[in-house]
Amino acid sequence: MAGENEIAGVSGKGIEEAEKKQAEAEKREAEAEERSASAQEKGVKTQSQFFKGVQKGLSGLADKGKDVGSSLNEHVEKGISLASMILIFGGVANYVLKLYFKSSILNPGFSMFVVVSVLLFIVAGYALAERLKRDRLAILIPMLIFFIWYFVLQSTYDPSTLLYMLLVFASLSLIFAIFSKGGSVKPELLGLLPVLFFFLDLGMIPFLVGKLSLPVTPLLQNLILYMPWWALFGLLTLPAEASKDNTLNFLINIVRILGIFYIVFILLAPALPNIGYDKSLLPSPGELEEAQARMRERLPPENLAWSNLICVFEDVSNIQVCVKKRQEDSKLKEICKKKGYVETDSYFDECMNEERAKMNKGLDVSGVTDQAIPTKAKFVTTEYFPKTSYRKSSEDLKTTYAVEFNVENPRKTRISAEFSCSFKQGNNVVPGMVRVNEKNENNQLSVEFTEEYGAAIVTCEPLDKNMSGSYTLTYEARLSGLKTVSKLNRAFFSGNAVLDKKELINDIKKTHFSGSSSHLSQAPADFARINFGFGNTVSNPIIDVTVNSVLSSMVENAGSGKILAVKSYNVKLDGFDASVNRGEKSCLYGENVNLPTDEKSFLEVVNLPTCVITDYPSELKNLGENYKFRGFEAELEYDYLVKKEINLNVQVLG
Amino acid sequence: MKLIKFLTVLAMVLISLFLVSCNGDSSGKKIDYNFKQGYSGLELGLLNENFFSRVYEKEPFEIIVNLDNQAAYDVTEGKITILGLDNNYFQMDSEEQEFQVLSGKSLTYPSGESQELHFEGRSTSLLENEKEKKGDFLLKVNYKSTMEFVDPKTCLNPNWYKIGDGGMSDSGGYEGCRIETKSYSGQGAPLAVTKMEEKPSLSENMVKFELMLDNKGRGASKGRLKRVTLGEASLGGKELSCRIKGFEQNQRTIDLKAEKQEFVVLCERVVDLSSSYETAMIVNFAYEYEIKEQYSLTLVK
Repeated sequence: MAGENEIAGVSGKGIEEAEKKQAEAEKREAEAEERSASAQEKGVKTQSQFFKGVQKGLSGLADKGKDVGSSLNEHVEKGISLASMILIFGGVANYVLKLYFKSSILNPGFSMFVVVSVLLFIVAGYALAERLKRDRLAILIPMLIFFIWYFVLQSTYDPSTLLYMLLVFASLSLIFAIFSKGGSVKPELLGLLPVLFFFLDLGMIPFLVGKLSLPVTPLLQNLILYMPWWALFGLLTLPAEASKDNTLNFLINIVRILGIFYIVFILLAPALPNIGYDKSLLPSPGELEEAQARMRERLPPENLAWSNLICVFEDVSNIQVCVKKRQEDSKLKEICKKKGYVETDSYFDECMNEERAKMNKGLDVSGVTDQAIPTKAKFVTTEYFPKTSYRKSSEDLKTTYAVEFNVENPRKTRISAEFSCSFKQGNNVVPGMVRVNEKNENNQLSVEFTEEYGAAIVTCEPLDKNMSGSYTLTYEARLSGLKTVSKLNRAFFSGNAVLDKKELINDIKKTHFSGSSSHLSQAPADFARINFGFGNTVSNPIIDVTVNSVLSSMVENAGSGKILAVKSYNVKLDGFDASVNRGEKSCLYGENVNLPTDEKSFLEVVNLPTCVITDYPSELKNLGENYKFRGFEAELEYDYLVKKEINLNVQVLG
Repeated sequence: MKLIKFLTVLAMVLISLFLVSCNGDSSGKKIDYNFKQGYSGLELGLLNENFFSRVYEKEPFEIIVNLDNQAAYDVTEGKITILGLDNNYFQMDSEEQEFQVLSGKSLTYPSGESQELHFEGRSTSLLENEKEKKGDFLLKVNYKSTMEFVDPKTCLNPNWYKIGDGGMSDSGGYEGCRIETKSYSGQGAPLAVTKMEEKPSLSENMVKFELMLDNKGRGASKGRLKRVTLGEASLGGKELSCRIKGFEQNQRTIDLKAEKQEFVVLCERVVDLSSSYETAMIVNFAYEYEIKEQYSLTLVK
């Protein structure tokens, strides 16, 4: 029974299960059908969606364009105008081009940069106008009036014309004020800002410095010229919150504040005297541009701010020295480049050193654009010089030591060079036998140079052939017949005939002695030079001929060798009564000046006699209210010792 | 609003056109033109300045000076001097030239008389190894001229002391002319009366004037007043007694220093102040003026 029930149960259950399973299968089938139906639908949908998608994409692009436009509008509403951006980038580009394309290349009268400045001037007005919410047109009134006054009326200062222009300006302002109910006053005042920047860009201040001789420090010079003014103006026209980035906004605001201080400093720093002009108060744009270019040429090529930045990283503990050296190097590089040297050239460094030496010795020759080329002579070794020699212990040293002796003799004087050499080891000195150009006939150890360039091969052999160890080989050339000429400028006036001495002295100073070393004698960078000066005081170049003067002179050793003899000197003051005691004229000329015989000392200075000038040439007296300007010369003939020491080694083998 | 903007822009364009076309040449009105205004004087310039960029060795050269009298008065006893050229390099035939009279602006010379003066010279050689030599020099011009100050409406009014400014009556209206400090924009010469103050003195029946004078030379005619002589003065056709402040009555000529170019002239006269009237005041001056300009020559190989 149970089994039957079980079987029945099982059968019952089985049927139920089978029915369940069938139902599930049918359900699954139905679902599958559904799915396939929906898949089909989806396929259709996908296709249409694709096309819809494309459609959407295209319309999306169009919307994006609208979005960009509307976001721009938002920005415009916020104040970041296209004009501001044009000013910033255009101003930087204009400035960079000015630095690298000097305006002298272009038409100096009215260069392209003036045209660009005018265009930026107009954009500046527009940028400023966009920041105002109302009465924007009023900004154009002062700009237009200024434009007409400056370009059409040539910036005339004629009172009647000025009054006329002011009346027109006032009338237009009144019209605007009436219609705007007073709201146009502020825009009109703002319209003067583009005018200010126009001048700052074209270099008004450098021109005032050049024309009116205003005192400006080198720092101020750099600040005026190395500043992209229109770019700064563009930054100033940006709103307080120019972007969503707070950091950027902060930086922009800092730059704006610094820019304002910068402008105030630039404008207030030089004191402007009250000087007026009949025709024009202000120079023409072409003149401003030229003055700026002239001023830029006098400045070191490297921007001071850039030098400062580099030195912060290179030598933070000594920034000032570092900056000074960088500025000096940039000037020297330009000089050597202009002379035709290339930076990769091996002689470039030599040129830099020579120019640095000239700069440091203060040979600023006023009135002479190029210095006289100095006389030079030196021993030159090549890379083949045998600094280390070998010999067998049983053999003599066979090495000969040869160097080149080069002479630059621009004045083509007759220079005689007598050579000698020696080998020194501690206190032991081994004399050497010298040959000049492979000759040593009749003990001829000298050679004469008369041409502009000359050279000789000087060889030296030690007399002791058994040398070993380290030695110092010394070559010496005793040069005789060297001549040098120094020049000095002086101005003369009659003190008892001039009504306003102070004014006359100022005029002379400004015209002839504006340089800091213009009162000193100038000479080429020869081995030695004669320095001389005379005047009511020795260093005062403006001489009152009604008062005695003092003449003082000396011979200075300007090279690294030794003055062996002062053969003669001659200070050419023809017509001047200059004498020491008992009528001796040894302050004006002399021969064979006594020098110490101590071979160890290298004389720096040889003082010559000083004397009093009691009378002047007749052409320099009785000058009334006028003055005379004259140049004077002094000649020096001397002997000089040029030396070169070379360390060498002789190794004994076996 | 748009219409207003349009009208405003149109107004600006029309005014600009008007200004551009206006060149100050009132050729039809010369007869009425008063030349005795402004501060113009003798203008100095070089005609061939560009030539100086290159003067070759041992070659002749010329400095051509142009003098243009833009003052309203004749210039006399003029002298031009070249100062400061080093004769080791630049040898001038003559460093000084005189010119007699250059007429000022008038009906016969509406643009003033001008004259050229030539200075000839010869360059020498440069020194050994000298590539070029720059010779700075001053061009100095000294001349004499005159100036006439005229105020055709000098007010003499006994009621000046009444309420408020001079001439105002109790009722608030003016009785007669008004005494006031007057400013002037020049009399057609670099020496100019800039201001005049009038100080009547009822108790003394006298009227006193204080004239402020200054050197107002500008641009190419800017220079220095060296000497001024006070000439004749009249008020209403009768002699006006004047003297230079700080000097005695009989010292009519003073020398001026470069740093102090202004001075004051005091004038006074006994007048009948019973009634108020305007009359002409004329004061004459003679002066010596000096202009200096710097130039340079460059001697090259």
